[in-house]
Amino acid sequence: MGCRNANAQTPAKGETAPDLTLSTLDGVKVQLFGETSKGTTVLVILRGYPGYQCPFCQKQAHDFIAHASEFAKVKTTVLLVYTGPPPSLIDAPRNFSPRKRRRRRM
Amino acid sequence: MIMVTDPDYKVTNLYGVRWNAPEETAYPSTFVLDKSRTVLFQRIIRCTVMSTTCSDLQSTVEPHRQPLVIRPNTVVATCEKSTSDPTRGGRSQILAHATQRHPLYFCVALSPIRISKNALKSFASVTSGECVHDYDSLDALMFGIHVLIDPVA
Repeated sequence: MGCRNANAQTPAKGETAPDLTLSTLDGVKVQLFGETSKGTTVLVILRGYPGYQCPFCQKQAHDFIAHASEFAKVKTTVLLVYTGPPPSLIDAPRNFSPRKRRRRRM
Repeated sequence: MIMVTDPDYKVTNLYGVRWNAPEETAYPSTFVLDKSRTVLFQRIIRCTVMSTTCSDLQSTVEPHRQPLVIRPNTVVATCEKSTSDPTRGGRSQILAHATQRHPLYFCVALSPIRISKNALKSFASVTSGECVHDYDSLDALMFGIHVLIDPVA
């Protein structure tokens, strides 16, 4: 899979963070360094959809959304990263699994 | 506030926070970066029952923000007296008191004590996240909230 050790690449406090480019839900490209050049940036990596909507990530996202105006006041950008494929893409392959098909025949 | 997606775990791998377990995605992580892309704050949650809150970032994002200061003997809140005892209806004031022993300790006295635990919790939650109290006190209820108070103001 090529998954790296969780500790190997994580930038520590005082280190320089690597750049990244991601897309919004509308397909707009967002570059991290483009945001940091404007001011302080908070990068929040959420769990996304590990088979369910994580309630703690939902709570966290709501917390940041509720405080959006306060972050804006201090010119801080918050980047919320929804990790992994969207739920529809995860569920779709399951619908074609042999196990699922057997259930349907029954 | 910008919501972006990382469908192929590009960022998750780049930042070393991939949760490499069946059906898992990433360790919930929060980084605060300054203009020079230096990490000012980093927290990786390696369990499923916690998350980093905005208040955790306050001192990093707003280093110049002054803490809440309350002067002694100022009214910081009013609360309803007991509804179970009509003779004690009305409103009472909650005054701030500083103690020399705990200058950072915010102490309020409610007298008479006829306030439900829920009311106290409600008050504490809007005032501060931390509340120490004694529900069994007789005629006055003292409880403290950790907030900066100026004892000489």
